[in-house]
Amino acid sequence: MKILLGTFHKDVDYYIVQEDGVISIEIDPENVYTPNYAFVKSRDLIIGSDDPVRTGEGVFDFRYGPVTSGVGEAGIYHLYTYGERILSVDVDLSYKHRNISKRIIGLDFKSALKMVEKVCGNFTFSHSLAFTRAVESANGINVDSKSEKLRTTALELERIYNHLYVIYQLAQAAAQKVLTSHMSYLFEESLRMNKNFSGSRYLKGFNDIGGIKNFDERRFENLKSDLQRITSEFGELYKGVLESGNFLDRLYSTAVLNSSEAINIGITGPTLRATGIKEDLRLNDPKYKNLKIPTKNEGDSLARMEVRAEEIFESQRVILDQIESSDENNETGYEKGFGYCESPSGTVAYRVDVKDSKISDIYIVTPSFFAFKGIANALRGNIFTDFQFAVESFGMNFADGAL
Amino acid sequence: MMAYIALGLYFAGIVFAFKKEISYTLSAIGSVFALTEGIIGTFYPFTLGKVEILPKVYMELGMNHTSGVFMTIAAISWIAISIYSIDYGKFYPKDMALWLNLSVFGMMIIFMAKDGLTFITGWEMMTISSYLLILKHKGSFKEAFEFLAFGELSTVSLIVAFASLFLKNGNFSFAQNSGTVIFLIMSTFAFIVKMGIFPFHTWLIGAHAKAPSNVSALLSAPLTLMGVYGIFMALSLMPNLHLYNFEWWGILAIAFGSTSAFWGALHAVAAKQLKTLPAYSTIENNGMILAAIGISISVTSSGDPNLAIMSAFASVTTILIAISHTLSKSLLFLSVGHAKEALDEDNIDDLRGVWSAVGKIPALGILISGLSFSAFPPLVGFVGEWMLLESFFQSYKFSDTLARLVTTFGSVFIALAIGMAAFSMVKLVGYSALGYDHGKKARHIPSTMMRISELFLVILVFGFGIFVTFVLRYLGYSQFTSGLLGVPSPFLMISSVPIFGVVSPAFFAIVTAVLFIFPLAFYLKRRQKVRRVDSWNGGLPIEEGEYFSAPAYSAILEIVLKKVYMTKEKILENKANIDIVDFISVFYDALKYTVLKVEKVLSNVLMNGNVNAYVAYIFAVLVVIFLIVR
Repeated sequence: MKILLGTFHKDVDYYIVQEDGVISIEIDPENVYTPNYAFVKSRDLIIGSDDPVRTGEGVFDFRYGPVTSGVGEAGIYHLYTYGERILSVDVDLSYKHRNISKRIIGLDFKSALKMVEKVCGNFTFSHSLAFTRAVESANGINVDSKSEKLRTTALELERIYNHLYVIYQLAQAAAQKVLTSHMSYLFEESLRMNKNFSGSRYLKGFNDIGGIKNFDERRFENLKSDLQRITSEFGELYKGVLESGNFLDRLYSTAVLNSSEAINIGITGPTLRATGIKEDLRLNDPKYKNLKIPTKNEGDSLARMEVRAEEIFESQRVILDQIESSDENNETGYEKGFGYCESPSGTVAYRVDVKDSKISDIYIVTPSFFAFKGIANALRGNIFTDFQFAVESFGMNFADGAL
Repeated sequence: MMAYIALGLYFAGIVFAFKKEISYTLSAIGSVFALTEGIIGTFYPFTLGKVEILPKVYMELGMNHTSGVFMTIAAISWIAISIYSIDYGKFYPKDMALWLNLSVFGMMIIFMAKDGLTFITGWEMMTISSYLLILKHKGSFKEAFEFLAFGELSTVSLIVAFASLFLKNGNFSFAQNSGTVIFLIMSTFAFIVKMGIFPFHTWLIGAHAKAPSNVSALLSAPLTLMGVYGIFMALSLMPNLHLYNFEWWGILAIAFGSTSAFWGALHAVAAKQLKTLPAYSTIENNGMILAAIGISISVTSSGDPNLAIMSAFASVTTILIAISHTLSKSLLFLSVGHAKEALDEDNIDDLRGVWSAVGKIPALGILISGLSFSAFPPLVGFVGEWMLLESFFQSYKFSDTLARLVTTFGSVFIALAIGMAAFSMVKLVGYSALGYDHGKKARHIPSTMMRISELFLVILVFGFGIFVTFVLRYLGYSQFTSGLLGVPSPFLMISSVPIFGVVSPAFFAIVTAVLFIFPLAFYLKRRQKVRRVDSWNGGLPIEEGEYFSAPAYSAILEIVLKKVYMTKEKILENKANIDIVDFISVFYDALKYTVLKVEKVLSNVLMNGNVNAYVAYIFAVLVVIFLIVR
């Protein structure tokens, strides 16, 4: 099962393809499964549902955004409806388009890394990690095992706080006041944990090309206790969540995306895993030992939330494992100029060309770009009140999708 | 005398139909005379003349208190419709004036009929000329025919009813105590069909929606009022109802009335076309009227003298709702028709901006009639619906369990109907009169007379509401007017003696007006300083395709109540819409289909050009007739 995530042209067309936890760059189009080729190729900033329905008696465009309560970033959801029922969705990402790729070209690695970290605030570390891996592989830089350990830890910390945030947003959408307050507190605690560990609430400036230097080992101790406290409190809450029919009803069968649809779009991450597909880039990463990949089959908002919740516990286990484990060198081979990682919402990949210690070309794959297509398709047939449950459960960002 | 003048003027209107303006003007003047005669007849009953057609078979005209009251109500509507038609009639052929005059002529005959023969003459005049009026709108043949079919169903029932009258009394005269049970059953059935009561309402929707707007107003207000009057007339022939154990009739009327009100309101909410919504609202209002009649009859039939006051209140409630409906619905159809003609649109969604594009008076007409139907105090609609609820509230006084049960459920239906009526009127008024402007230019049409007519009705909708206590006194129900605390007599309306519920629309109006002075003064003072901006809409100006559409307004109800509406959400070739069905029409469609099928089979078997089959058929019919008549 191959998922096409990107395509770029260098003399010939190249295809960035994910399969069984590995991303490769293919040349032969015969080898590539390409139902989403046109979508990937155009990278249009207005992403619409397949078979759009925009006309009919009483059908109008319920424009949600760009500056509206409920849409966290500058972006627009055009919800076509004849009232209540969402017939079709166009997501307009253009307000958040900053032309990142073009701006990075010509920058030195340090400056480029700073810009990459700013692509999307809550995926800072994922972008930073994929980019540094790409630059390191392009320049043949080896990273020490301690840095790899820290990177793995930071990546999982990013996953934890993002997942907590998604569940917090879902609770808020369902007006679960008590759960919302608790989740909001845990989210804040997780940011503070990030700060204690990395010096930044959003893990900014922690990673560097070639590895992470000057890390004080004592921070691991604080991390361990913070993490155990947060996940244990979350565990208690999550038990309650699974018993709250009121809450679960809002998520159950909302915005269903099945596995073949998800693959055809290019969806990765928890959204794909919530459709029953066990696909994760960490599967082939030797840093992750005995990784359990939670999956669900329903493909609805509830399944997406469940996958994220279970991943929080698994990420905790991975981090504790990293803290306890000794430094050992694990070879992780990336193609030249190519780097990727499993962000909280799916695959982030960077492909760079380097010339004179500067970035001469760059291609970026982000999960949100595909997630918006998933939202546009999954929302069809749902009603207005499902909107927030659908959107939040995908855990995507306009900044990440628009670049 | 006035009646003869009125009838003469209508006749002149028929003669002068080739000159439309004159014909409609004659109709308007005739209606003023009819109004005057109605008022006179209310207080001074009279008979006008008696013509012997056959031995013992007379045709007689006259007027009593009931017919006077109803003719007064109808005449107001006739005046408004006639004045309106002076301008509006210009868009239609000359014979419209002819049939309009004839229809009103027929209605007046109905009010003045003192016997079955005269009544049915007027009834047929009204039905056939109304049928021809509906036909004036292109492509309305099917609807007009349906109207005629149901109209003739009424007529046939009336014939049976009057035949029963003849069998008992040896003549058709509407004398005291002349009624029979069959007469009451058959005639009320005929009148219920005319009122468009569920499940005999489907004809009304197509006919009202398709007819020219002045005709819609005529069909919806005075024509259905004929049904209400008919029931009153029929009941008046049997004053001692308690002797006939007739409580079941009242209970049935409450059940059908409240169901009709609920059904009408439910479908008015989901209506997409401009005139379908008011048409369903007519079904709702006539349902309320029937329910009120039902309460009155249930009480009367029980023979309990302690409940006489309750019966009287329910009875006057009926008249008040009839007044409210006649005035408000005439106003609504006329105003909507004005806007519809000026903007050349058929759907609620496309008629936005009446206030700015067409004019303030038609917009005000839509607004005020909509508010009246939404029971907004102090308008006349509020008064009618308050009285109806008060009538229902007093149903605890019933001793019969079934009557209590039916009124309890009936009141639930009525309450829902009132709520949904407000919902539907917000949809109509909100989108057409007050809605965002499409920027579409209205075509210039001569509309002075239309505006005069609309303004006339607006004033009356206010006036009849605010001064309802005087209307009650005029109708002869002064026992329901009183004074209390600071409200002097007779400005307070009471629903029973001793006092059960009270309301004073006049004082509501005064208090509201006084309270309104302060914000108005504040507004006028600061008007110059107020900065006007578009409401925030995500930071971008709202585009044409982004306005919340009228169908979307009611979609939630159609989706949630999909079993009731038989909702189908359709997507075809990238176009979507919601279809709903009035399931009663499914039944009639099935009936129509069966009749056509049988007809086809019969025509193949009997009318197939085979001479032998013809002869056999004729022979068989002859034998059957001999057997029956032997």
